Amino acid sequence: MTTAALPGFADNVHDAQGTFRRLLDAMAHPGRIVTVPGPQAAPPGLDPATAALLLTLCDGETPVWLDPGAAAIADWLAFHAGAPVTTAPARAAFAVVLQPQAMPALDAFDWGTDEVPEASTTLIVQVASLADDTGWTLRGPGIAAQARLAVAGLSQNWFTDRRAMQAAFPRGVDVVFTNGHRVAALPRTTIMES
Amino acid sequence: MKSDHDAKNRQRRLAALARSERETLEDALDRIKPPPRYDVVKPAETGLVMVRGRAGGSGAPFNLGEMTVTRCVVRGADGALGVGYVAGRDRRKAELVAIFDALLQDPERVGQLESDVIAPAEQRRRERQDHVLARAAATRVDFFTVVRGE
Amino acid sequence: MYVAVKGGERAIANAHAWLAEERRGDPAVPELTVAQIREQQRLAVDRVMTEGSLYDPDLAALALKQARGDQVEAIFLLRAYRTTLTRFGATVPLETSRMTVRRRVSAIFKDVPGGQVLGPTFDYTHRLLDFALAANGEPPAAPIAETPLADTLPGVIDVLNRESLIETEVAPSEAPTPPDLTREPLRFPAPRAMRLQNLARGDEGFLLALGYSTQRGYGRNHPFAGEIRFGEVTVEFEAPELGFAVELGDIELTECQMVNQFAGSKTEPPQFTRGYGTSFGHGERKAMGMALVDRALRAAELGEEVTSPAQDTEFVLYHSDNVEAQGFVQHLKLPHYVDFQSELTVIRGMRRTAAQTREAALAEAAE
Repeated sequence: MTTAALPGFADNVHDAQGTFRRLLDAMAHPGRIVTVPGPQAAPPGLDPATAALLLTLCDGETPVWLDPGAAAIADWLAFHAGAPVTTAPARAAFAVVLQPQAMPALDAFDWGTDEVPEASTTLIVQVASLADDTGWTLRGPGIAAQARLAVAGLSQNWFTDRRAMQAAFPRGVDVVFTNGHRVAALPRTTIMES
Repeated sequence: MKSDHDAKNRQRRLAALARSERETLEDALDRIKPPPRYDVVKPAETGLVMVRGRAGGSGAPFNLGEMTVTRCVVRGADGALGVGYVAGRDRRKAELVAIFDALLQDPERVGQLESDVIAPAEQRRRERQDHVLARAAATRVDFFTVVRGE
Repeated sequence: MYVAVKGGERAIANAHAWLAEERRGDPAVPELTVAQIREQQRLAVDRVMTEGSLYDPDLAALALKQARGDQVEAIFLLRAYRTTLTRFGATVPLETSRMTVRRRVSAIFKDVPGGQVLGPTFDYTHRLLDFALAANGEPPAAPIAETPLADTLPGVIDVLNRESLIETEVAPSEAPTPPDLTREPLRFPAPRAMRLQNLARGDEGFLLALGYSTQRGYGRNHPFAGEIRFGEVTVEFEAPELGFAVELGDIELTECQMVNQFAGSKTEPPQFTRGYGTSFGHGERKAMGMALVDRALRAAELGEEVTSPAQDTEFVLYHSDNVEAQGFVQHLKLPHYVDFQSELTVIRGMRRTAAQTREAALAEAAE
């Protein structure tokens, strides 16, 4: 209960709206790193950006899947967002990954359907470092020519899985990486080059 | 771990607080000296709950329509979390309910608050209800049968 | 097709200013307060809450004030307002059998436990205009019985259905989350929970007319008012911060249990079936109309032939919502200048063709 009742956003409405606006920027410009202020406190292990996104996006109607590293935040999530936890990644509206090396394959999550592609899982993956001047080469909507993004700590298969997902468009998952106060997005529309 | 008995009592008190007038709670808080300290954990926020009914009154649930609700969470000086949920949009009232919910978890205060705040609230509700039920009873039909054919 | 047309801004602003003046009416007459509307136009408030699908008497009263008493406009305002609020969750299903009853009547059983309680009803009034009201003044206090009613009155049907000749409504032990029309579109075949939500938000006039049509023979189902009750029901919510259900307060609610003769089908014995209607506040006519239509829409489920509008699920559910209906009808007022120009061209062309054909025919006849 002590962790659960940590203070959340200082100003629930405006902080959530501000965070959402920045996430929108990140989503609209894949690979671009934006910063979010974060709540007044976050449970141990949760970066401010991860906590801010969860407080912004989750509510009683969004089942959340937590990886083993995030299992302890269930009470905090229920207290602040009223969000239920699901043990089935395929039924999750959001997934929280604190151990990216060991995360399930992307096709374990909900990719939506051709009719309702937006009813898919959005992954929030907290990583050890983020950089936008090296790493993957990204192309697609929201990117003028190309963008770069380097994410530390993903497994070897991740890149292959993500590229394989591109064929299923418009089905697929959107991924948001967090690190400290920083956020970068990799929506399903983005084409990854090596 | 709290016992079922504690939870039941808390539930009953929250029900009484939710039906109290804001002014009544404000006055009751003013009477507490020194004024209790508390931190707001979740500032009062107005939202909706979907009211569910049942088909035929007793069958499978369906969504009837929403109602406005305001909630607030505070932490008392002793660390107890107070939670306020009230119908409507009165944010201060939700905060007052949360404050009293936190105070009522203090064994040193509970007796006094029970008689000063909760019992009067329960009695007012009872009186209001009895007034309605007595007027309703006055509109009850007393059937009498006219005997015919004799 | 629409083409952006500019230039209306000042006209619109001035029109709205005039509207505000008209809303206020003669300034020599005292302005209505929201509390006055809430207390003295309560049934209008109740209808706005029911069809606006939001229980908040003050907001509904404000909407009525803003809409100059136009109910559908007020309902629209309330529907728009609710979209600005987050939803905390869904309540525990209401226990209407535990209602604090103000009114409870049954047209099928005379001697019901607790008796026939008329409550504050228009029934049995003579519908004569009361000119005393034009002069204002406080009414005499309503009589009070020495013994109040019991805290709760059990449902008439459940108590008096000794021979099990009336269908029972039992909550499934594992009730699935009911569909929610504020989150997902209508789909067909629509499950009953979806139909009931649609009807509960539906236009009273539409449901009243459809219910009436079933009585006049368009999908006849021999209804009786099994029970009508109005009163206060406690609302409980499972608070995620608490881990138990907390009482939020009480809401006023009307409920109608319609009982209908049913000849039986291959799987069901002859019995009385049921239709259910409900509304926020005191909305008896709405609840009765809804109950008739709910029963009519069960035709397919009960193996009855679907022959009439009230039994046609798509027809009823697609046209019941007055916010949708007014929007689509009233959008015809918006500029359709280009649309209409293209239609004019088409008509001119058709005329030309028709004239040429006629001339050709005349020429042929003359030869």
